[in-house]
Amino acid sequence: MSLADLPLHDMQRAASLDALCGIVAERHARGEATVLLAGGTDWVVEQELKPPRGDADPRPLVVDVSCMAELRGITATRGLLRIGAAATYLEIRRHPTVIERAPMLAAMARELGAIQIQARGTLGGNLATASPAADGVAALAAYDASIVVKSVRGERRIPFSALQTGYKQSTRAPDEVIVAVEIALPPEGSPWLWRKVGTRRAQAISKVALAGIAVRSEDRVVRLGLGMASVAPITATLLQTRALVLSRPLSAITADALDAAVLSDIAPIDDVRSTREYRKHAAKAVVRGFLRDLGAPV
Amino acid sequence: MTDTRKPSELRGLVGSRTRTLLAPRVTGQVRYTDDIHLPRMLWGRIVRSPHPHARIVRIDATRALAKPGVIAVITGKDMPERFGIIPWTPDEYPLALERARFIGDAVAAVAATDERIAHEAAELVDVEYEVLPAATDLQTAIDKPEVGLGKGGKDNVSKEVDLAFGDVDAALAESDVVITGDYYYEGSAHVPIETHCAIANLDKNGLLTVWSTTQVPHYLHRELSRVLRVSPTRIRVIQPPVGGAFGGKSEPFSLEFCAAKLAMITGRPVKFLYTREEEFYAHRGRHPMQIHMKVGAKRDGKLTSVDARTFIDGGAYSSFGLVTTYYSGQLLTLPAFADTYRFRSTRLFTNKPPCGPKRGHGSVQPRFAFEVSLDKISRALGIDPIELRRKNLVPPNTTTLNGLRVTSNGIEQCLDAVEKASGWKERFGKLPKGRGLGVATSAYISGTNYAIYPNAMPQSAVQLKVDRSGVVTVFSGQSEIGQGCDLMLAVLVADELGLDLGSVRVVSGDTDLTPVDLGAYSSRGTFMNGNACLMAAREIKSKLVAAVAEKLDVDPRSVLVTRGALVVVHDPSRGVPVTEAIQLAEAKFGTLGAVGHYNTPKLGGDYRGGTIGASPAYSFTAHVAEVSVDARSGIVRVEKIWVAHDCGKALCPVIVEGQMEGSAYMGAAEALLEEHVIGPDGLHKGPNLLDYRIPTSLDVPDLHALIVESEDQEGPLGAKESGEGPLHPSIPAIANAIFDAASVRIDRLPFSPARVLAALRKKQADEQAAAVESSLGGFAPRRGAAPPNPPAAE
Repeated sequence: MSLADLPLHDMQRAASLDALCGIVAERHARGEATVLLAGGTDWVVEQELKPPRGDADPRPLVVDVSCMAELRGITATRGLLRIGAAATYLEIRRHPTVIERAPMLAAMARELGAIQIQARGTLGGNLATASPAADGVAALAAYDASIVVKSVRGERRIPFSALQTGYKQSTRAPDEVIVAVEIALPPEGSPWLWRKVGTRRAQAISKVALAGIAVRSEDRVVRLGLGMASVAPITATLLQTRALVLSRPLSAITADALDAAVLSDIAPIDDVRSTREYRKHAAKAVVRGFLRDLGAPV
Repeated sequence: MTDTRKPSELRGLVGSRTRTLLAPRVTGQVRYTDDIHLPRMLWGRIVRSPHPHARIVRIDATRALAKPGVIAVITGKDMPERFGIIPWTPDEYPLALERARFIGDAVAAVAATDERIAHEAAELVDVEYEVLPAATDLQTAIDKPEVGLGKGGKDNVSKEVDLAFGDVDAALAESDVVITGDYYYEGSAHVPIETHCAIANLDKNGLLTVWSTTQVPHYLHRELSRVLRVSPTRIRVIQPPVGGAFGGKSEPFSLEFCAAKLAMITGRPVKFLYTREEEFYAHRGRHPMQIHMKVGAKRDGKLTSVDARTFIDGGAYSSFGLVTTYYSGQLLTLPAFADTYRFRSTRLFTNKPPCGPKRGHGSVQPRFAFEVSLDKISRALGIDPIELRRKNLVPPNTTTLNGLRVTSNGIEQCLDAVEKASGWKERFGKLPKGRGLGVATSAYISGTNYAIYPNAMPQSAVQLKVDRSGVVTVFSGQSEIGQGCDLMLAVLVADELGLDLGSVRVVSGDTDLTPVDLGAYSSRGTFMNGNACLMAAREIKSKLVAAVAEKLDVDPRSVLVTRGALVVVHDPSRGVPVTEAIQLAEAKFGTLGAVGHYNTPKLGGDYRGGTIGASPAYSFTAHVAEVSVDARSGIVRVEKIWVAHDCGKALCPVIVEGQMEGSAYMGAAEALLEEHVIGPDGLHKGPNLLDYRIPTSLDVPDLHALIVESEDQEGPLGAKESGEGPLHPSIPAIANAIFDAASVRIDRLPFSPARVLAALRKKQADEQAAAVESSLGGFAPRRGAAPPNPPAAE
């Protein structure tokens, strides 16, 4: 399908977030699917790849959430950056607070897709479809973001580390709406890295992408966030690598140990964009590059 | 220092009006085929085979026809007539009759009231297949000719060419150095922005009109008539401006026949528009080629012999394959070549989307192998690669080893230009590690010398209509596909008659309105259509001159056409504005009009296939590429390309430069990014613009287009082609630059990061193994048994 086929679906908007949660819950209870449509950059493509449905097959209800006020907006209070689930990447990359306090997020949004995709795509949407190749989700992994979700049962926060359970699987309940993401901002001036290895310089899905955030105290890294796209069935959080770096002075980190940790954290595959072997090589190289910038002799 | 302006600018041929004529293209005002909507128009959709090879047992359209909005369904039985662009090898049906030969082969077609219903109805056509074994790669086709489209033996061979010129074996034996290499050129697609589209309408008088995104309206006209069994007098083909083609639209396709047939059945207009995915499966793109090549040379750099054995992956149908197979060898003998030559090329059928002509048809692949071989020879002999080429250049006004007649030849100036502009002498071999320069050269035809179907009629023609208001309309059968042929004609007419460019209109690509031209292929437009146009313009010019001479009472030989007026040579104060001259001529001669045509002289070698590669003129190109190779990631970046091209005469420099830049850009993309890869299951690996990697503006190197003008004696005002030639050296120039930067040879396309990295690692391992071997004083184990991680030698 294309966007032009959207009228084939039942479409509506909800008056409020509570009303939206109500619609989703009611339909879920009846076993009916609801699609929350923000930018549609993943969902529309997925529909194209699905086998054609017969005229009699039920189509999901599509609720347009792109204009819902409660899901939009970017705010920062007391070191906490909150980005509405339906804020677009274009809004993110242009937001003064993001540029100043979360420059890695701005850098990621700048390299994501074409300007048209940036103008439609959202973090909420990428979290919902849960592709391990999503650049935005890798950045959230590095920030150890919390995902704010809401349902008729109330609101809760899912730490990023507890979100993804398998390929396109998550701990978010089917009736929970993604409202926002929250990031505990690292101190201003903290080192960061956004490194996308794509098939071309722009408008490419990553072969490997690394998001990195570090807080350094003399020869040690005291806070480290890493997120990597396109190297495992879920967004890789590189826990072994983080543990290695946090466990010893930067000067005691060796390239071999770092490489081994990275390899234990990822499980890449061969596909049209790259090979398993090249992804392993690139993953090691980009992590080494970040640690080298931080002062490790790797 | 001489005047740095280009000669064409000095003649005042073009000015800011050039941009006026191009403006509709860039401001979205051009109406493409898909912009046409006719009343009561139906939408068509082709049902395609999901199997790479299958017998069609049964087709049942009951469910599709029952769907509301579906008007008609047709199958192969409705058009049981083979077609093919080459008259000797017709092997396609508009819809497959008995066998589907690749995933995506057309087996049925639906017409419905809107596009969505047509797409959904196509899924409801039930086709029962008996799946057959498939050959989905070249090696299977070579090793197991009984699998796939053949029954064994040579049955799956589409075409084989075996030509030898001189005693190759003796020449190789007497050579001081022989470079042997195995090269693999990956297939690639054209990726025009506009996908294929066709609309057909049968009017009350029985006239069938077909609008198509074709590059060859005349051949389409003939094939529609033959396949539909309708007299050509009842068919009109209109080719609206095309949104990019690059060779991918130079033969008839299923959609044109299906639109026409469905329009005849339903009595309503029918439109087909290929999706991007269908575009990749319709294909006709660059042939993958596996080339084994030996090139020999004497110690002084004189080339002795070239010996090539090539296997060509043709895909499921013949397309232009007969010609492709010749082109895989015939054009190598220019601009620098050896004393003896032998090539044997075999095109094989595979169960894949059919390959065809893409910009630089068939000759880009062997050019890669040959120019890389030359680079290897230059290294082996310690001769600068530009000097090596200079030592072996074929001179102007001569005949090549394989019988190609060469007239104008600006390759020396091209080499000089890129050598100077790139700072070659100061920089080659002296750049820091990871950065390198590479050079390559090529030659290309300005139109193939013979029509696809043998006939004695002109290859190209125009009619000129002269209006007394001062407007001249050119009616031309040429196909405007974005390459600027309409502008080329306007420039020639304006220049000949002293008109402003805005006073020349061009009507092209309509079989009812315009005389026959064979089409936009083989870089024939400027040379052939341009000459036809000049002939007509000069006839009009002579009438204007005669009328003005009479009015001013001077000798016609003293009347000169200048911009805007015809004046007396020795007294320019006496003159007549062009519009007035036109009116005087109309009064004197009656209504003004003229026709012009062009046909080629008899050319080509006196042997079977000797006419293929023959052309009335050849263009010449030299590239220098500068690359950086990142040893950590294996990423190659092309930093700069200097491309010098001998186009004879730049009738419109801005278009020539655009063609040179577009060619170099497309070549660089094939070198580094693009891969038209079909998996063992017969499926395309990425039939969309996300996964099929055409470069974005960020991936494009800095391009420097250097125009060289050799003034061809037979070309229109000296012009030759510029649309395809400049692509050829891109790939080997980049390959050679990679070697200069990183000392690795990548003899397989594309030069992807993974492939480059693997080569760098292998080189490192080999060097370390060699170091260990030498440190062990000859008692080392054989290299294959060396420890996997030998210690680095200090």
